[in-house]
Amino acid sequence: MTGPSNRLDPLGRLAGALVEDILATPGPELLAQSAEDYGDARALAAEFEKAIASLRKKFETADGAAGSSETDKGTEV
Amino acid sequence: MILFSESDLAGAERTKGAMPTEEEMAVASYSLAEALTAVKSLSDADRTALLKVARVYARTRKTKYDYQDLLHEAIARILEGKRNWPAGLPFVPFVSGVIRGIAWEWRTEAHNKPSSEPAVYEEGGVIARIDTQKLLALFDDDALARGIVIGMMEGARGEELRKSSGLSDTEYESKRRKIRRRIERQWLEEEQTDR
Repeated sequence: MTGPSNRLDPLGRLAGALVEDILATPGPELLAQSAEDYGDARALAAEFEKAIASLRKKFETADGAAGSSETDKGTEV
Repeated sequence: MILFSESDLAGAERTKGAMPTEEEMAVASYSLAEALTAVKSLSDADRTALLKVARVYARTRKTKYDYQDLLHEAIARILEGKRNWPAGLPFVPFVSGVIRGIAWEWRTEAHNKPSSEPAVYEEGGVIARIDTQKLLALFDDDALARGIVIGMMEGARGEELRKSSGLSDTEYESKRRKIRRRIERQWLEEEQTDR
């Protein structure tokens, strides 16, 4: 099989190493880096939320509807 | 069940998690409701990590999409059930893997599309070579860091790379972090210039 792991170019391999480092970095240090780069420790977390806001709304609404539907069923006698 | 991480956890704990229990092993993957709960429960540190991961793949894969698109698509595929979250795998590394797969897929799509533009990204291509040289030039003042970056580009990892650098574990970790930070700052500068 020729997937990403064994067909990577130099930049792809570098990406793997950088991601490894990100995932191994303690949370407080990541937030401190964000504060250093953007003047706000929550800047990137907020950007994340912004990027997926429409998805959250869509799936939370669906989840809520399913939940209330379950509740309705539960109260039916 | 190991669903979430806290911002005060060490990175290693965030990535490794604990051994799955027998109950977890019996389940092939978490449900969509559990995935939604995991998304909602991500800590600020987890969100920060995943945004950084998306940026790394968007910058190095050269798709026509940006890192916000990558992130959005990864979460969409997970919540729509197109990508199942395997039981026992912590959520953050799972999302990271999904982002990586999409970046590869989008890069491949761009690569396969017939294009009249000469600036197509490909292994060994002109743009890839320029990007590689630009990144290496960031470490012109630090031969050791440059050597480690070259090693990373050649696919060396962990202990192999540390040994060849001649650094102790702590020194190597520190150097690796400095390398990543310098690259991140360069990308940040470029993004601010582009705005």
